[in-house]
Order: sequence, then structure tokens, then C-alpha cells
Amino acid sequence: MSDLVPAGDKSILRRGDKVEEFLSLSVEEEIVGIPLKKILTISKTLDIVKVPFTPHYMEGIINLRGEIIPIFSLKSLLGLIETKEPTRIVTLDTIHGKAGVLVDAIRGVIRLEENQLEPNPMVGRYSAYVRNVAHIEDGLISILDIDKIFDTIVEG
Amino acid sequence: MINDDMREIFNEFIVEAEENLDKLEQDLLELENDPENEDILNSAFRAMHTLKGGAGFLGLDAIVEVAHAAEDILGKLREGAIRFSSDINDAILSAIDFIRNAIKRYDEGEEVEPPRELVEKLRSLASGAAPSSSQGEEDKGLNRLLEKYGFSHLKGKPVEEVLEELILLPPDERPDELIAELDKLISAGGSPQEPEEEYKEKELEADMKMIEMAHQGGEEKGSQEGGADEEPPPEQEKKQEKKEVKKVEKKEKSGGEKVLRIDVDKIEALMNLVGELVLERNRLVRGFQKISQECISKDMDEFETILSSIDRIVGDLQLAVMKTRMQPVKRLFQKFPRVVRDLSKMLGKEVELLMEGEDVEMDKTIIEKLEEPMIHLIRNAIDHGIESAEERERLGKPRKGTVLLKAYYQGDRIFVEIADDGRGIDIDKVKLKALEKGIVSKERLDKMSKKEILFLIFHPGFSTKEDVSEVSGRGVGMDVVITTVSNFRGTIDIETEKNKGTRIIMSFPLTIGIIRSLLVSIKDRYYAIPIYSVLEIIQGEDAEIKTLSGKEVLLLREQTIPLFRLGGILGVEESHIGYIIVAQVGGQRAAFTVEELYGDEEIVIKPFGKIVGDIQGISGATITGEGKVVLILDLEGILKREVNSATII
Repeated sequence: MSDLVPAGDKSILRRGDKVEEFLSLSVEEEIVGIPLKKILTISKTLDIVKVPFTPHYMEGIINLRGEIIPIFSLKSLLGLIETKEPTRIVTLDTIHGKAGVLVDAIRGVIRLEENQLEPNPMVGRYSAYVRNVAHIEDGLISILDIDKIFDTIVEG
Repeated sequence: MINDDMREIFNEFIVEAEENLDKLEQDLLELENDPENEDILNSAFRAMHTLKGGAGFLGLDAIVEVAHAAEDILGKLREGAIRFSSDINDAILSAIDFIRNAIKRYDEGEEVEPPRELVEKLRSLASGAAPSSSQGEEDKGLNRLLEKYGFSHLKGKPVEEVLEELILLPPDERPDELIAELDKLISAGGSPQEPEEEYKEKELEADMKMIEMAHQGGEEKGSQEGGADEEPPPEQEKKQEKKEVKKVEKKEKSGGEKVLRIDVDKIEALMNLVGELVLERNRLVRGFQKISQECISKDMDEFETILSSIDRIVGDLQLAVMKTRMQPVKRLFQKFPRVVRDLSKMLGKEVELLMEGEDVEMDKTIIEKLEEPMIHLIRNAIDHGIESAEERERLGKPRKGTVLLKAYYQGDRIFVEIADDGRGIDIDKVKLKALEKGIVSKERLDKMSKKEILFLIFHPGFSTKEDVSEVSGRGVGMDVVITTVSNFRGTIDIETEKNKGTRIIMSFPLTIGIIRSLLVSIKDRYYAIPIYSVLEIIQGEDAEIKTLSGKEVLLLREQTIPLFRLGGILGVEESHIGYIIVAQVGGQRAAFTVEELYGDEEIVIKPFGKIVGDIQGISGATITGEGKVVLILDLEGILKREVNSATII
């Protein structure tokens, strides 16, 4: 677990160049990472109001400090079959506006140097949304290109 | 090319240029009626001069060249060296169109070449020569072009008919080459014509994303300001119209320095904050009411005073912020004289455009989005409504047809009307067409009221114009009208009388951010229904519900109203019918079932944002005082969904 840094503890994170921070998340059996600068808040999955006439991957909307934020199922977006109940909402600052995704669990903040980030070797599945992959102690982490995912949603 | 250093100046130039171009266009149209008017000539000259200066500073050579040539003409007109003619007017209007287009292209980083032909034409007009309309083009040229652009079915048809087809195309699909050719043919054969590029202007304006925030009172009547910088009142008493122009000019001068330009995003952020403040205030008031029931003390009275003044201030603040988004309808209406002029010329009809209530203020977003539908309605009025001058004479009507645009407040809504004194809508033709197009069944049609039949013209794929071709028969336009109107929670109504004319009446909420709504619930889910569409509410147990050809209907005072189970539609289990809400939806009545009713409340609409986009049937959400998320239902959208799934209205 040496890669993991407690969330919010900035002192450990030196301002080195070429180092990027990610939020490491669990969705089903996979570990995915989202650049920390894209993350707005993390909260429990409370009170998601379903919205009729929307696509299956949209879970509903929430009230985040007086703002209406749409919530999406990350698993549906990535084409994963749901067997576990998501427990957290991660709200993101995407190029198209604020939005949240449902994930199973938060693993922590992870710091990776540029040379640890490898180009995505896979094809198929959700690989179109994978920016990089990296080996960490827990296994392989896929760094997601959040804006690309939301591009797809906006374009319908 | 515009580099980053110049970007800010360029953006300012765009705003200014747009204003100057609008002003110029208005002036030129005025000049058509009053060619000798020095004030208007001066104003037009100044506008063109300012434009040239700005473009020169930024090195926009193509614009400079055109503006320079046009300015020369205006200068000569002012000196009296040459006389105003419709050729001159057309040429300068073409120059305006060119400049608009050029600004847009510069904005997108393109290079723009000066238009040789136009500059030549302007120069020769400035020198007092007759317009050099390039002759010698034969119909063959036209036929070749028609074939090239896939209009071979129009070959050999009269030019007017070809033009009519072209107007009905979306502006960016109109082949420029073809329009230029037609232009030549027409100017050779009589009245000159210029290609209509002007519809592009609005895109430019949308790009700007700027809002003009008038300083308090800046937009009000110039006379109220009574500043020393005001011009002395005009001495000469001239036509009513002219006085109007003067007033507008003066207002601009005295209010000029009190106007501040603010990025729309900043206003948007302010609106959101105020929206939140309103909700928190509601919570505060509710919380206080609870406490005040429990404890009674002197301190509570003081609290109450403070609370009620906060309540008032927040309300005023909300209104003030809302007002920053309001703009006079003039901004919308001022585009139409040109549209009417071009269309009536093109269709060979005599039309006068009257406008009323230009000072009425509307939300900027509505003003912007309404332009296209209005153009469509005006086009319909001139094309289908107003008869030819000869026919009008035969009917004992004045030769000149009238199109009236009118804006006014009524209650908490703003009304916008378009009326013409043409032939009116022929109900029988509408019926026939609707049957022909398979829009309704014969049985349904027989049961429909006159109004319901009239509303069929808004159905996608409807067009009553006879001898329509593939292009104009698509009937896309009217559908756009009703979609835009309902997007802003507007209503639309048609009144028509044979040989008297047609009136289309639209109404919109004063502000798009706040709406009075009925709060209802189904299976402990809350929904808000905008109250303007609600006609009446009936107790579920009193209602008489029947089934008619497999569909549920509500029998109400001898009337049958289609009934919709909201729970089923929204995917919520409905246990009982507590109440039935009868609403006016588009052109018809519809009834919707709900379980519980909680009265009405002002709610702040929060749109879903770009990611989710528009959802047909749900117009947004709101957050209650308790922080609950409530969906705002769009009954019209819901009805459309139901209709689409059942295929027939």
C-alpha cells in the first residue's frame, strides 16, 4: 500500500514535476483512477431522485449544496455488469459541467510519476475511455478519461 | 487573423459593430420612406464611419474596404451630390450583410478577401453612375445551376417561383451561386434584389454571449433622466415615425455611459446564488414559524421584524437580478423590418409592418430563441396570409397588407402577437391536408373542435400551401415554433377569420427562472406542475371516468377529455386517484391523475445542464425549502410522448 496516500494529507505530496494525483476507486472487480483535479466531492449514495425518460446509465439527480447534479452509473457507462451495490457518489468537474458517478468504494488517493503511466494496451470494452494504465501494489489501475466519457453522453 | 493580444479589442469591436450594423439597417429602411432626412443620413454615415475606424484599427482590410466605399456613398448623399435610390439602398444593405459575414469569418480565424464586385458597385454608385447590372446572362445559366444544386424540377419555372422555393430552405443550405444568379435575373428584369444572408447575423450575436446590463433607469425614457447632456428637443415637427427614431437616438446618447457590459456567465452565477438565497430564506421562514408556535417572548417579535425585512430584501434582490437579464423586445423586433422588406419584395407583395410595445422587457434567452420562430411566422403571414395587391383590391381591402407585431404584459406573463390582415386559415384545407398526411384519423377529426383542428398546423410534417414541392412541404417550421414556445413554458393560440386575417398569440413567463407551480405527489415522490396550464382540479372520487376506444377519458360537464395516469407514465406505482388535474396543453385539454396535492408555490427552476440536456416531459428540477429535489413536469412534453407512442393525436 505504499502508493496510497491518505486523502487530504497534502504534506506528503511534494510539488514534484511530472507527478499526478488520482483518486483510486473500485467498480466491481476493477480498479479505476480519476485525476484528482477533476474531483469535486465524495459522498454517500443518499437521495438520488430518479428522472423518468432518461437513458439507463443515468441514475437520477441529487441536490449538491443547492445545485442539481446528474448522477450516472459508472458501471453502465463502462459496460460492466453490476453485482455489488455502489456506496459512494463521486462528483466531477467535467468539460460539460458538474456530474456525479456511482462507485462501489473509494480506495484512496494515489500519486503516480509520469514514467509509471503506460499507454492503454487494451482494445475493446471500455478501453476507449482509458487514458493510461499503471501497475500499483493492488494490481492494475486504469486511469479514466472522464471528459471523453461525458463527451459520449452529451453527443448521445 | 486575430491574435490573442487583439482578442479582447476584437470582441469589443464585434459588440459595437453589431450595434452599428443594426442601427445602419434601421436607418436605411427609414430612408426608404424618407430619403431626404438629414438626421438619419448623418446617423447612418456615423455608424458606417465608426465601423470603418474599428475595422481599420484591427486590420480587417476587407471590412475597411467595403465600409469605406459605403461611407463614400453616404457622404455623397449627405452632401446632396447624389440622390437616394433603391439601388443605393440595396447596395449598402449588401455591404452590411457582407460585413456581418466577414466579422463572423474573422472571428473564426479565417482570412477574408474584399468582394471586388460589391466594392465596384458601391464605387460606381458613389460616382453617381447607374448600377452596372451585369447583363447578358440567360435563363440557360439558371437552369444549369438549378440542375447543379438538385432543383431540376424547377427548371423553366418563373423566377418568383424558384425564389419561393429557396426561401423555404434553411439559410445555410441556400446555394449562394444560385441566389446570385436569380439576383441578376431579377435586377435585369426590374426590381433589384440582394441575396439574403442576413439570417446569419443571429449566430454572430449568439456567439457574443454578452448581455447588456443597463444601469438602473438607463433603459427608461430619456426624458425622465433630465440630464444636462441631453440634446435640445427637435424643432421640426415631422412624421410620427421620425419622432420615434429621434427618441431612440436620444435615449442612446443620454444612457450611453450608464450601460455596462457583463459576461452572461457572471449573471448566471449571480442568478444561481440568489436562487439559493431564496430557498434558504424559505427555510428560515418556515423554521421561524415552527419556533414561534412553541415559545412566545418579546425577543421573538424583534426576530420577526428582522426576518420579515430579510424576506422583503431577498425578494427585491431576486427581482433586481432577474431584471439584469431582461431586454426590451425591440432587440427582437428590430430585425424584422428587413425580413419583411426582403420577403415582400421577393414574393411580390405589398406589406406594411407595424410594431407595438417594443419597450416591453423579456428575458434575454427568450428574445434570442424567439427570433427564428418569429421569422417563420412572419414568413407564413406574408407568404400564405397576405394576398397579392390585385386580389386584395378585388376583395375591397387596401392594396397594402399589414403585419402587426405586438408585445404587452398581462398578469404575470408577457404576450407576443403576430397578426396579419390576409386571407385567414382555411379550416377545410387544414382538415383535408391532415387527412391526406395521415396526421389524424377521420373519426378523430370529426370529433375535434375548430381550435384543435387549427393546431394541427403545428404538427410536424404539416403544410397547407398547395403545389408544395419536396422542399417546402416538409412543414418543419411550425413545429419549431411550438417547440420553442413550450421550451420556455410558453403558450400559443391561433385566431383566424376568413378574409380578415390570422393572429398568433404567444405568451411567456416574465422570467424564465421562477415559476408558480402546483406541488403534487405520487407514491411519496414529489412533482411540480406549472400552474399556468392548469384549468381546474377535480376530486378523484367525484370524477367520471370512462373508456373510449381503449383509452381512458374524463367526462366533465358533457365534455370528454383524454385522461392520463401520471404514475404509469412516470414509472411510479400509483395506488389511487386522489385528484385529477385538468390542463390546457397546446391546443387541447388533457387530464392527469395524481395522488396528493400540496397547494402552489413559487419555485426556482434549475435546469439539468448540458450533460443531461433537454428531456421531453421534464422541464427541470427544483429544490424545496427542506432540500428535497422535485421534478418539474412539462405536461406538453408528456402528452407528446404519449401521442408519439400512440401515433395519433
